[in-house]
Amino acid sequence: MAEKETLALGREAAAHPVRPDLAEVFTQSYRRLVVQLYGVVGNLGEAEDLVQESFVRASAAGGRFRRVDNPEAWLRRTAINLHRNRWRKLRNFGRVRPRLEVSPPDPPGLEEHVAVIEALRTLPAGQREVLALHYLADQPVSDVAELLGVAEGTVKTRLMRGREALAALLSEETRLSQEEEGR
Amino acid sequence: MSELKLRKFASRAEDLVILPDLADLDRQGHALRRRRQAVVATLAACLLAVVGLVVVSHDSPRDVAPIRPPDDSGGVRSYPGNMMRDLASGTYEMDVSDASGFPNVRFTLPDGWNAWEGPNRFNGHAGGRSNEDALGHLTWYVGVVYLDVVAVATEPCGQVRMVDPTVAAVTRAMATVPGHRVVRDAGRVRAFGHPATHFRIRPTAALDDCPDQTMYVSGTGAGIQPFTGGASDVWVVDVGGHPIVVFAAHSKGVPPTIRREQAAVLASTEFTSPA
Repeated sequence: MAEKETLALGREAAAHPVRPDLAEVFTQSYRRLVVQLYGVVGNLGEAEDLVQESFVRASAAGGRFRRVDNPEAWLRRTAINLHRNRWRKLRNFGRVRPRLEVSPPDPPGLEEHVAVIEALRTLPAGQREVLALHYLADQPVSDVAELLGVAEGTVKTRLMRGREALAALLSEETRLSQEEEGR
Repeated sequence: MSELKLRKFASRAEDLVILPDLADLDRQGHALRRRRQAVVATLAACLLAVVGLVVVSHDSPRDVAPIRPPDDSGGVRSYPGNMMRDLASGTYEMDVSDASGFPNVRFTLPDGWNAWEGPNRFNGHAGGRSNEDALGHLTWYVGVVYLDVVAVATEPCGQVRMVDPTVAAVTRAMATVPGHRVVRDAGRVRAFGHPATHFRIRPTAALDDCPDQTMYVSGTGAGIQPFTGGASDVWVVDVGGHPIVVFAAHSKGVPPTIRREQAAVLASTEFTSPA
């Protein structure tokens, strides 16, 4: 068979049966986890990457993952740990990073929520993490503290400051929009 | 109000997330698991060959012990990295490098060690809170760090330079790291179940002007400052061709029980396939 034909036909991959338990968690939790991580990292592409990698690790864990009491929490923790390791790496390039940093593109369909996304990105990472985990992942303060390895008091402080900063940023955005419309 | 906007954003964003092919993710997971099992088999074979004999230099931690077959049955926690908080006792696994296929390391900690780039212990730990402040007041310190050294400083207060990722090049770089002198050279040994080169280094006054400078850069991107509080035992371990640097640092005045804990952490050290 000519190479062109082979390419045109492609090679059909053997059907790969996915474990039912993994498929069920995937259906129930994948989208939710991506949005939660989107809130944490402020970048949809990176959030998808982190959550997909956590599913790869869940698959690799085999029986250990099946025995996990709360699979979504396990996946969230894995994704957060992956993010923190990457962030640690990026931190070393902190001096040049601000010059390179530009807002990542947002997915189409979220135009109404641009202000929220931009405001989240403006917050310090610590405040963004606790806001995302508390309000997007519905995690109680104690669980957020445990997940991030900080004291509950720290989480409460960051939540309070994050809420205040977010409210201020959003009201400023609203004021600017209204001024824009009034012209 | 802002919380409400957050929730609305989440609800809308969930609808827009595109599902990837789970079968593809699962295939990647299976491949990862196969690689892990292959390395476990190799390590088990090494164990039989070595019969658990580990030779280290005189006066270095004696019980840098025979490598054990990695416990793949669970109970191993992911090492949290630089959190500066006390850790619960148990076995931890950490990524030594971001490089694909690079071995991970597992070690067992007693209760109350601090989570830094590697586990360490010093006086003044703050219990459930951050140990960051205690660093400013400590009077003794021990620590263990596992590194894929990708760059080393070229002079005591200078820039770092990339090192070839070979065992020979990393060994040369570590034995001649600026701002330190080698106080004991044990040469070729077996440590942690693998061939290794072991020596002990001590910082010199050349580092006095720049104790905070980055001395090493690890394969995870972390910049590591020199340990200026005393001597460090250094092993450059050849794990299947991957050079892994193990530092065991200690200051003066460390309680004997803590030195024994450090020796036990080293004794528990084993290298596994990446998870």
